[in-house]
Amino acid sequence: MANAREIIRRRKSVSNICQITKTMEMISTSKFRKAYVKAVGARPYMELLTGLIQRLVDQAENPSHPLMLPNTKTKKTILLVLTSNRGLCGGFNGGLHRLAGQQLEKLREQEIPVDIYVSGKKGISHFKFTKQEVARTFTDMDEKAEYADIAALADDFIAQYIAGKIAKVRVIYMRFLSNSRHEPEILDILPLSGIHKAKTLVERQATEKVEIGDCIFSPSQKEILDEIIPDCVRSQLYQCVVDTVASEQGARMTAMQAATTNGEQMIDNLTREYNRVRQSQITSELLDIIGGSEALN
Amino acid sequence: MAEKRKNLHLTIATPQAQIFDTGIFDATLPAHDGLIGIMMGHAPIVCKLKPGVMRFHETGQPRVTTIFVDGGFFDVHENHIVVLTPRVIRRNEMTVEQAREILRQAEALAHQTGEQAAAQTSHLERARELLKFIQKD
Repeated sequence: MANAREIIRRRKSVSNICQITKTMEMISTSKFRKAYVKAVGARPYMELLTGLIQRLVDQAENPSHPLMLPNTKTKKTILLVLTSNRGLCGGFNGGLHRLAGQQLEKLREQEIPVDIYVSGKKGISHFKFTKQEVARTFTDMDEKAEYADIAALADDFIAQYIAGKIAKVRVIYMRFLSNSRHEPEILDILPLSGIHKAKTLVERQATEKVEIGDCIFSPSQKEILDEIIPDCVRSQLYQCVVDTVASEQGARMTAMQAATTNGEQMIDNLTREYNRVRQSQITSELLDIIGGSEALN
Repeated sequence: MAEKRKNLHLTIATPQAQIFDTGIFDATLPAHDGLIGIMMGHAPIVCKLKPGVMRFHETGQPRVTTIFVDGGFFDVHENHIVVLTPRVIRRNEMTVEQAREILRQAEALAHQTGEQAAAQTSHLERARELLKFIQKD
């Protein structure tokens, strides 16, 4: 059986760790609330925008826009992996790294050149550890990230896409589902996804009778598409970032909650063990004293 | 329900949040080529906005609501107005001094090349509209 003093020392260190995890839980709860508002707040804009583009594409005679069409000049893909800057958030980063690894393997099998862009210190160190070359790194896409900063990155992707330097921008991010539920997901932001799956008017007219909507476009349909399609790319990327941030805080909250509960249970067990040791120590000391006094008689 | 059908529905969203989602009687929007008024039964339209003041009459509210929309575009479809704009500013969100500062910054922008001059003109127009909106009390 362990020494009583040793158990006390262990109990102290566990209770210190418990204090830290409890504090971290509280911090991540308050950060989560802010991140949640951001992640949920960004959704209506993207949904309304996507719905509008879908309708425009459905009604247009020639709905092609350079950002919706595949780029045939090159095969090069940018893989943007969004991870967190800090750890202690359970399997959050592990899930993202695993998905990124699978994607990279698939792309390499198809012999597609890939540029890896990584956001978050955890992802950067993972790629360094696995000795994979990273083209660009970011550490500022956390809870403080503003729409303008992310829009600037999206504009950079758009410029590269228009110039024919890249064929695809694929984002690996954590989709935020609820407080404790999130899933690593893949989203192709370029060419714009989620829209072109629908049949174009020309295709629909071949199979069914479709009337062209009498919608007024001001100044013109082309100018409106030119404006809203890049905007959709920006807001999709922004949604990925805010979803990842909210999921990170949610994951940390859950992880810290579990750690605190485990720690408290450990303290209980250690206290019980300490009491047992103390009691047996007293008993053995008493026996010693009784034995000694009887020997004197 | 019957009353709801009589009214228009307005949704205003920015990339960060949904600002309004309410029933209205009518709305006046700063379109790229002038003000445009929308009432019940308006034809479907998708139109670009310029930075300017938007007014609308919310159902059940005695006063007209005025806000500043920072460009973007709007879509009218089946008596539903959707305004998608990068930013919405309410009158109490900014002081006159702050609005003046934005105008000063716009005036100080570089305007040597044609591109710069065009950018400055749009910034100036925006700042003037914003100041006008904030000053009107």
